[in-house]
Amino acid sequence: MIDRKRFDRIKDIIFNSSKANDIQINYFKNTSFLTRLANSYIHQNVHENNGNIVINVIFGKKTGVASTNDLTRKGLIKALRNAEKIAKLSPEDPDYPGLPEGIQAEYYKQFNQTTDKTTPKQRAEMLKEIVKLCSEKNVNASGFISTKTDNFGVATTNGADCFASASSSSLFIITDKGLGTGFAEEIQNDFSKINFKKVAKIAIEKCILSQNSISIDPGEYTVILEEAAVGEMLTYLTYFAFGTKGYHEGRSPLVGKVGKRVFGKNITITDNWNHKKASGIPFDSEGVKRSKVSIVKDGIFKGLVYDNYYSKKFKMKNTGHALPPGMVYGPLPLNIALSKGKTSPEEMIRTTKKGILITRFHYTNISDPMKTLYTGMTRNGTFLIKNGKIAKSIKNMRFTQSIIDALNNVTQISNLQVFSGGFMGGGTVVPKLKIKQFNFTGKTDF
Amino acid sequence: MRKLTNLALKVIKNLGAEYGDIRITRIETENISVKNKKVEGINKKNWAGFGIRVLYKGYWGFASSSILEKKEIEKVAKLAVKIAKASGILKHEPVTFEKLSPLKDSWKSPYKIDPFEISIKEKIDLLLDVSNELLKVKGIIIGHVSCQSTKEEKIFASTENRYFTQQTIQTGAGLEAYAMKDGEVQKRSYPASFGGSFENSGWEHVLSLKLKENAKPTAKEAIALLSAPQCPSGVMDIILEGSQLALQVHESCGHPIELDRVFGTERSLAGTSFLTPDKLGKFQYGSKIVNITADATIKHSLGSFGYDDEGIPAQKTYIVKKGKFVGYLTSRETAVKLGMQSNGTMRADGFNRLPLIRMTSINLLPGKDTFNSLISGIKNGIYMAINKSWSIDDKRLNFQFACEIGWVIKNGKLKHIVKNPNYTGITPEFWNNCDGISNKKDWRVWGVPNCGKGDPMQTARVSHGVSRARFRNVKVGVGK
Repeated sequence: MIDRKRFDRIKDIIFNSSKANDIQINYFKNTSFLTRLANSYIHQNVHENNGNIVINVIFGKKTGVASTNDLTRKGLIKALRNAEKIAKLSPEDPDYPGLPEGIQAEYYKQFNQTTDKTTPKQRAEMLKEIVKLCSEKNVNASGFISTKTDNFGVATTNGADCFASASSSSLFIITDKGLGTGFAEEIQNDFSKINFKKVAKIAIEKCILSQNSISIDPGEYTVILEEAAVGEMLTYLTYFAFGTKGYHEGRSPLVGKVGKRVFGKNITITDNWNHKKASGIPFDSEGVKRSKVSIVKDGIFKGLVYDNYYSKKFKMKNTGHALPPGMVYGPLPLNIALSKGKTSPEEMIRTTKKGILITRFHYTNISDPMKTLYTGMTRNGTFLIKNGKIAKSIKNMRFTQSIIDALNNVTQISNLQVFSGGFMGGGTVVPKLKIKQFNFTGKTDF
Repeated sequence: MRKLTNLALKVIKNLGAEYGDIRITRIETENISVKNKKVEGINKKNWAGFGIRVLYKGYWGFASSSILEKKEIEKVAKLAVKIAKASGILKHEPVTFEKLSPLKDSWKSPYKIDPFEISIKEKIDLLLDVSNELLKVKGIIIGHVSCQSTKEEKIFASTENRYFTQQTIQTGAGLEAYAMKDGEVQKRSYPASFGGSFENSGWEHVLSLKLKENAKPTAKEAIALLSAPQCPSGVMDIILEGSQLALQVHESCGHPIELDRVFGTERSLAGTSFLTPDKLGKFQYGSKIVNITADATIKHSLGSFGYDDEGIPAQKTYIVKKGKFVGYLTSRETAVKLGMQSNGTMRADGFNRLPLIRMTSINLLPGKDTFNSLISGIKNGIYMAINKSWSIDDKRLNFQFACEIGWVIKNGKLKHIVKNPNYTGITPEFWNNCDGISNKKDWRVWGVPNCGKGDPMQTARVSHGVSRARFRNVKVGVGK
């Protein structure tokens, strides 16, 4: 539900009880349900009702942050006093610019009544239908269906008064039969729009196609990465290369490369909260309007996103990308979209003489941040393509590959994009990519 | 609080559930981070609420709320039963487990100095001092120091008339030095990466780490890495330092022995396990010198507690004995399927999460070697220290780790340092190639505060007792 009234009460209590020069409040209210499936039955079925407040108290150039989920008057005052105490004891930050001028905004476009009112029975019935479809093909089903509504409020003593409410329904299905597995997912704002039959069909087909896998030798291959794999790769790039703080600390591989070509000409990356497939909100944690930011255009690195602190310190435009107080990562683009291309997914396969189709990755990690050297395993459907056709399922492979090099080797981009969930409430909007010379360094026996 | 727990249990029983429990949890955390002589962040968090778990006709339901009021408890207990009923829409074999006898107890983790009694100013001063030391080394671009204190108070009550309270105090701290030259960045951490060393201890643990004394030597290694040669590529022998070996145990032993994974109930996220029940008591997991325990009773270990979140007392069990795979981490629901009893490993990440099987302290027991004898047995190899990254497949077989620093070993002697070392392998092959483990003097427990599992995601605090160990014929220097 939209929880604006409670936020107004919290604001009044905090603003009327503090003697600080300035205050910034972030309010988070989460109501979520998740029904989890394994071995074709519901083994976990959970609900959470949680609300918390983060208070940033400012005395000149001293700040203090405290948070609590005790939203009674007593709990709020205790957190406020904690923040005040921390601020007074903290050394001054000479670079602290104060709070930016905030906007007043309400954003309920992402709130969905159907999702918000979904019952445990409805979720279980959807999974029952999926299990039925899987059983018909002798395939086991695992995964989850989740529905949630998140409320986010921002108020500052410099004019910000913003509130957003967003709902989300996620269906995530893994299928298995013997050693073969499959995967498909769908994220929708509206629970009733989830095409669970389509999700089940894709996951079942992948699982059946994954039977009797063969083992192939590691080495360089042309790969077609499906959206989940592309989204995960871009999420790492966001943190290690596009992170504003890391960039200005010299920890990004893109340092000094603004205006220069860093990826292939066919790569364009934008941070766009308002992309029709994204799930962003129009303001940041300081109540500043969030802008659409071009990060890479036609392979050329255009720049980064900024909050008030980093924009003042480095004389850049504040793009409205502040993270909540207490998070020390610095501004991050959390609504990345990789532009689509012109090739259909079928054409991408048809034009591949020899290559590997990858459904998704597993347990990926960056082993050398400055090279964006990235390792992980393939999972839930890895297929050998020969002469334009899927020839055989292959056993999972380990890759060790620079993301930057990969984005310089993209030969085809699909003409469709999909939203793939990411960290800190963000996510990526991504197409499929065909990449040449993708480096595999190991394999496993399933 | 007893009135609130009784109310929840009464509602659950009245609605016909055969089992139910409630956990009321309060967590206080304080994180302080200092970077380049500036306070980067101080964050104090108070988090409280309750979670109710019910079993209705063999099906689970769980509901939680941060509103600790009578009305809300009644509402959430009813919702938990409603959710359990919905779980039963998909029919399967109902969950059963053995009934436990009543219990009333309390447990507190040991500590000397309550970290919340130390003033924030004193903590900031310590961290600033350490950050200054790091930056005194020429070429260091980032000197980062952090500390964390946590106090968790928990009340557990179940329909089996089991009731306990538990208080856990944990602290951790560490430093990182970043050096940069010509676009290359090298990092060295102390005493371990990703936040340092964590224990079930008070502020005395942070003081015992001697961060200031270790700042300059760590920073100098970061500088030295810039001009060091790349780690060579090839198949060779390696020795792993304690904190890296702890993570190796974590990923390649700790996770595959979780019985929920084995039964496929974590398939959708974390994956399954190659250690299937047919291998129990038969499979040669490692060489005969490899002995591994799961022990939640080690004093000050991050994976220790009094009772797990099903009310089962902390235990010590063997996982691998003389190289043979002999045990799992279990819960009440999973243990019964193998004719066993739970060994008490179900833990939840706060009030709002369902308990899952989590590692306790998974320990590689000490061997007979010394660090010197491990080195002297190598003609051509690398000694690798401090984790930089980790990755392993979803059955926990194919792994790849990168470390911050390595030292070349030639003809039984430790030589120069190398940068960007990494290694890869297959779990049973790797552990069967372990032919040396250093002794008790070299053994300590490393806390791992960031173990992820489950949907919704949960983070567990676990630990691993290890010394150093030698592994033969390992593929090193991958992806260069």
